[in-house]
Amino acid sequence: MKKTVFAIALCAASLSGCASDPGDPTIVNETAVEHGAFLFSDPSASAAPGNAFACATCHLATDDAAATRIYPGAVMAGVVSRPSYWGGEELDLLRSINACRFYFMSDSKAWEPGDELADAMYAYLTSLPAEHVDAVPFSVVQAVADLPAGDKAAGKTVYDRACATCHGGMNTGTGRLTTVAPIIPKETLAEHAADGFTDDQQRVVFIEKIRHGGFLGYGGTMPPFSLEAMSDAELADLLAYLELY
Amino acid sequence: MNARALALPVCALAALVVAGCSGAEAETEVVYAAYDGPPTYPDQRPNFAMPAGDLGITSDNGSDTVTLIDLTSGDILGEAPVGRDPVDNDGPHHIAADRKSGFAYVALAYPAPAIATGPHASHGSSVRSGWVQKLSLTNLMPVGEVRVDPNPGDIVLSQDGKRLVVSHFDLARALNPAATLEEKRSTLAVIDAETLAMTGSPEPRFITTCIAPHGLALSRPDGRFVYAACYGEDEVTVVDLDAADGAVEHIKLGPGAGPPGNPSYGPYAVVLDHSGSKVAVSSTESRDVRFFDTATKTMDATLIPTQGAPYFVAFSPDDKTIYIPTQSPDAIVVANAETGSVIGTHMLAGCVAPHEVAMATDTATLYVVCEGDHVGPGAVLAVDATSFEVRSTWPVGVYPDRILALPPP
Repeated sequence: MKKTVFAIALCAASLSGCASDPGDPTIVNETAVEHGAFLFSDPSASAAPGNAFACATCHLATDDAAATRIYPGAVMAGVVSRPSYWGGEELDLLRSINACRFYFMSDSKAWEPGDELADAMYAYLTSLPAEHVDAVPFSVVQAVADLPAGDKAAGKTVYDRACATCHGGMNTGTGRLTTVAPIIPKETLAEHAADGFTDDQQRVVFIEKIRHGGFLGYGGTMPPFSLEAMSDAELADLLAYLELY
Repeated sequence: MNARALALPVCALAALVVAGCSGAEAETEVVYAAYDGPPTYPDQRPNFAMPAGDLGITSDNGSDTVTLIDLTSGDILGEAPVGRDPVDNDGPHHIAADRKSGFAYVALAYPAPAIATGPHASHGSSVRSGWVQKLSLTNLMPVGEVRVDPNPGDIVLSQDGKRLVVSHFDLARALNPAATLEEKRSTLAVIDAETLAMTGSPEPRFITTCIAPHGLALSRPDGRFVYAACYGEDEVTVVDLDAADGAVEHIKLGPGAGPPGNPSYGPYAVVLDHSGSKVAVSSTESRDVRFFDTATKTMDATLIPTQGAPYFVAFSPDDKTIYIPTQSPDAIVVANAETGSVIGTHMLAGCVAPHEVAMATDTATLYVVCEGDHVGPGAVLAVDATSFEVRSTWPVGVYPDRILALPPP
């Protein structure tokens, strides 16, 4: 079975009254592995309207020495062989994927083995090199506390590596992935000031959000940055760059 | 197979058509081949060989795990994470199981966000729905789940393995000063264990019961009557599950019961004896064990005072002796269940905060689950039922609060 999108072209042709026929579509045949690769990098792994996030938003597929971003999730190469996921909280790969799709990509319909998209994703993940087959540490900071002052210049680097992909430029949002991700820090500060948070509390709000993401009662679709993904020192530098003193 | 159209060529095409129908391009359509490899997402969980003798099961609510123990060989068969949230504590609080059908049922009591210490800890609601998760005993894989009310407290299974009953120890509801008596009362959830699936499980039947019910016992073998330790009303609450409205009956533990939500006795745990004729009621505020007569539906006169707060007891096979775990001081109190006289008190080395006692099938051994310090591992102790010598100590997950000792089916 195949399907395609003609809507835009047909509509435009109809409106213009043009009889020109664009011709038969060019068919490109791809494998299930390629399908999975596409899903990995495309928001269509979630059927939720408005979702802008893909697996690749948070995960590298394979080790990449040239990569500069800080990814909250682990490298995917070897994932099919790991004994556990989410820092040991999950033992099943598909449950783990579905957790990502639910919490970050807002899709509450779980994939099941045999589903076309689930199987394509498995095909792709299986095709990756078996490089990281051991459980990947993922230490979530449950009890957050304030941090010592960091370095502002170093914090810019952290921002660019960890935040800019989703949130865009600091206080501008330029290039942000989705308007669901607030422009930081200004939108978040404004929101919490309206809620009566003090300056000191606002600083810890950022720590809390970065460490907990949408979990532990916070809500939202942001992933938590574990201690392995972002050290306390890097986080302190980031706070300095955001001018949260 | 699936296909996608590449967005850019289509958009370009549309623009060109609108501009004057010149330079039309064919769109590109991708057709994917179906996956045709080995079965996807193979089950990689370790399987646990069910022991020939008693199987021990603990719910470890501080570490989100369930632990299985071969109580005869002393081997830890395995420990596996349970729950639905990959980050937060799912709070597996008490567990019931049926070896014949091969399933365990764990109550997930999600904590208030106050577990986190950030500024948002005080934000929003601290009332989070509880869940019951059905697990395969073979590998502890979740195979079904259903939402229940917040703060599930105890979970029990009927003798035929078909009826699950869950209490809700909802102190937030109990302590709401603006609530009426009925609003302070929580429900029991009654669940058809066989219908639980990962999606589409039927909603449980909810029966409003009393303020902060915790420990539960089900009549045997029919599972018709529920006996609930009603902490917030100083009573035993009896529910007839065959009655359309539950025919809820409230029986005070004694004189001087506290006002609703502020108990004088604080009944926390109940255990039905082997004959089914009486229920031991452990009260953590008054620090004693009393007995409820299931035939007359009255409290009898037997009273066992305990120095520490008593929790889930075990009866000897003839129901004449009762083994009571107490906390502060941590001990096992042995008493005559007919007269109430205390036979002995035993401090167990290596047991911090004993929560429940279970007896081995051979009656020679008692198993005691010890909460520990709620930070590091808890423990299950195998104790000689006569000498109270500790024979074995098994580390389990954090903050275990139930020990099941199940004979083979």
